[in-house]
Amino acid sequence: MTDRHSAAPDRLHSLPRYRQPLPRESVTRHIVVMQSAAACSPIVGELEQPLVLNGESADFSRRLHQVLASATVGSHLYIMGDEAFIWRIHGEARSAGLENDEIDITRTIVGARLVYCVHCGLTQAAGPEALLTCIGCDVGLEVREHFSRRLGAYLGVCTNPDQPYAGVRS
Amino acid sequence: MSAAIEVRVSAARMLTPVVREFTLQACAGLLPAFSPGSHVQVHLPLAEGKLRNAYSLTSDPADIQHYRIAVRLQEASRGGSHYLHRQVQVGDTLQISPPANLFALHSTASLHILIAGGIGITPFMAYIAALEQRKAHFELHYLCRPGLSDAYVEALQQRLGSRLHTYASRPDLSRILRDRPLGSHLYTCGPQPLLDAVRQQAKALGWPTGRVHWEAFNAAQPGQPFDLELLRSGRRLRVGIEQSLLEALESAGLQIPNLCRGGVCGQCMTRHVSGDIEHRDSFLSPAEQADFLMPCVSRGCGPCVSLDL
Repeated sequence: MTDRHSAAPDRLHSLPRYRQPLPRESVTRHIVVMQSAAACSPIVGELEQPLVLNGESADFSRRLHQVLASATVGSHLYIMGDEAFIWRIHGEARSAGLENDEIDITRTIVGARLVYCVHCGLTQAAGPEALLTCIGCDVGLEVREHFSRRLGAYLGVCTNPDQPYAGVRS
Repeated sequence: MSAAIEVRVSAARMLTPVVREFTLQACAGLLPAFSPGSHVQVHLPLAEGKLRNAYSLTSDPADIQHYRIAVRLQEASRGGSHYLHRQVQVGDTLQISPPANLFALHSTASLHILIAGGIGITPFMAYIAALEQRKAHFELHYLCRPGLSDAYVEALQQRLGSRLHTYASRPDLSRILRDRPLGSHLYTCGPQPLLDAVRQQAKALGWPTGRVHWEAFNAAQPGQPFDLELLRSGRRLRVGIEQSLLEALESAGLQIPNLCRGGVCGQCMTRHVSGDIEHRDSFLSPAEQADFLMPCVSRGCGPCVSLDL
């Protein structure tokens, strides 16, 4: 019968969980994807012969695609950067066939995060502030403590239904 | 729990000298739909008491005009397979539980690797029908003894061609599992030593547990008889040598939720309060076993066990 991993208790609830990667036995290939040299975590020094991709390099996207397409089961991915970067790479890795438990995400940079507007469906980069005006539909949004791993974004919901377009000042 | 379904045996045939296949039709109405990997419990009215054995559905899930199961004769068993091989005839009616699935396909996998040992081929027969309909990529590795436990092998050869790999002895699992593309999922069903070897090899090659799916047939094994004390109702029962704790509870009229009757699904988890327990399940962690037991397979190993029931 399927073992209980599928009902793992450490499933994400409404917010993403970030943690330092744990040492993994029997991983056959360590793949590190960092947003920039500044995003590098000390764990990289402890990995055995990691393949390191840096988001600042010119052919980063092409190489990432190539590495994911040719990777085999036994590979483990470490993503380091700000939230917007982490979840963009996470999405690419998942569509390449990596499972959640084969990916460690480490937020090493405080930077942009993505917000999904539930009214017009636009995903947009935003700062840490709790209120913003959607750049797609101009609705004043409150960013909820509710995160979609699939979209890599927080949910933005109209903050004042009586005056949705009043804009917000945070 | 859903009510039992009454079915009629519409056909029966020997697939090998030890495997008998049954085709089952609903006596009234329609059979429930099922997903590949599902099993049913067949209720067996043996002289020593009622027994329920779980069998995978081997038929095409898209066709619910009938169900099919394949039963291996187990000489050293409590008589369920014996009854199905020797007593049941075409035209007989049987009671079965509705299908339940503890061994489902992983829908997002891009390659399905199936490893069957002997009668462990049964859930994969339904898998193959579904995977062919989905035009999914898959391969079947089938470990079986020619002329004895090689049910369906000829039909599979014709149907699958190069996607079928048969072995008369344990294959080199590392060759099957090494350098597989990222979307691969592994499914294995068969005797416990094969499952252990597959899971161990997968782990050694860095396969995370979420990519490895397995189904064992752990029917209840006999053991020492013991007394049972039910603390909430104050009743006392006796569990016989050949009887499982769950069967003893059921014959006393208690309804305990259960799906697999093999110590893996977790449905029948029951709190024990006192008495020595021999845990035989694959579900509970050692910490959980301090407070709970799975009555479908586990037993008392002292004079008396008291349960929070």
